[in-house]
Amino acid sequence: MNIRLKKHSKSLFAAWWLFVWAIFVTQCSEVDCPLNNVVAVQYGLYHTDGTAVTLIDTLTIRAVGTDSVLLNKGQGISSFLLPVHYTADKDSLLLRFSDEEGDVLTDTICLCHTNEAHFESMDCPLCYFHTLTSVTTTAHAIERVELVSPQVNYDTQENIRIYLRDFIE
Amino acid sequence: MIRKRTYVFICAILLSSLTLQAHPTEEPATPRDTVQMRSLANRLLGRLLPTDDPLFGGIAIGVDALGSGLAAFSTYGEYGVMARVNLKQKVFPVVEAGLGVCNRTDDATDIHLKLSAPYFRVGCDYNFLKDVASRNRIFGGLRMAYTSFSYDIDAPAMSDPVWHDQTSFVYQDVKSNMLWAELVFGLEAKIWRNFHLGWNLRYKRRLHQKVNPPGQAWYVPGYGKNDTSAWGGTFNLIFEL
Repeated sequence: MNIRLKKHSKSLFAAWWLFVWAIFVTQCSEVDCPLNNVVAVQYGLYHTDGTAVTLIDTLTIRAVGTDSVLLNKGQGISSFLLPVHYTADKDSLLLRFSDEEGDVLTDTICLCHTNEAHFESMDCPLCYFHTLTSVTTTAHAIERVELVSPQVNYDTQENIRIYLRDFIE
Repeated sequence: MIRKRTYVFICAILLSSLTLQAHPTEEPATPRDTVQMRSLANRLLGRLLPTDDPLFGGIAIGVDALGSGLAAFSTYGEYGVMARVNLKQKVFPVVEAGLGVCNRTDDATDIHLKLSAPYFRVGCDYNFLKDVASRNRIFGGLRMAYTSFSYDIDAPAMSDPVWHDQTSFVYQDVKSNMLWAELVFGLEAKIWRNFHLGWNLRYKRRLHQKVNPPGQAWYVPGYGKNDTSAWGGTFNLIFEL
């Protein structure tokens, strides 16, 4: 028995270290969480002919029912990201366009959506994903809006196109 | 060498099945052909199973001490048992079953996951060690595994950063299932009389899973942390009947 053990001692030693390595490997893990746990709707600004707009006028956006300013005096922008309400199924956003002369036009965008809680991992914060169901707007500075991608999740993609009237620069 | 044996094994199985199917066909093969094919199959099987041991070498049962220890003393693990048949000290068809448990609250996120569900594996090991008389073994094998389970998950209320209202996150009895395959490598040694001690390392590959809101389960019974692939292992105390 002892002779056999000596004969196989190197093999047993190697086997033991392989086992320790296996335990080490099985216990290793890495956390691969998104950088933040907030998703947002991406809006794009367009002329009525479909070409992208880089805004010269100033745009300020507020969420109706709160004192939160979601976009403060944005200039030189062609797209922007806005959060979605976690629990309500309809968001109203006030878009205030003002030009250099001080003329102001305000539109209201109504966004209908569903909310889905999303669990990524025990190590990652929870978040809410959304599915946009419809979008409507008043027609002062904005001519129309178009829903192009309803899924709002970690994939960054344009969700809504805003077509501005020709006198908005 | 292993690849060569694998080819031999596959050829042997194909030839065996041809031999078995020769009888019910409309045009039965001549007795001479049948004898030749059986002879060839036996020779190939003889290379695969070269021992003089009897075909049926007994049944063994075992418990997974590593998984049971993790289940008992950590936040997740598996209480596992196995049973296997010994064919000529070389081929070991295996059935494994267990209970996967998880009751874990993450320190950073305070997310709490709770589940308890069975899992099942079937497969086969092959002993690559030539010295079968020592009853020590070096295994390579495959498993197919399946579990169907439900889990509870909850987390502290979330606050909407813009509208400032609170939303709760509590899901109960979320149903899911998973099918996966395992590649097994292991060692086993006889320690005393009919008692053996062995460990194995497993590479697990997810083949299918059912996901329901709010997302895939973080832990899957028998599989471990849920990902497209995972590593695992067992440390078995085995008794040969």
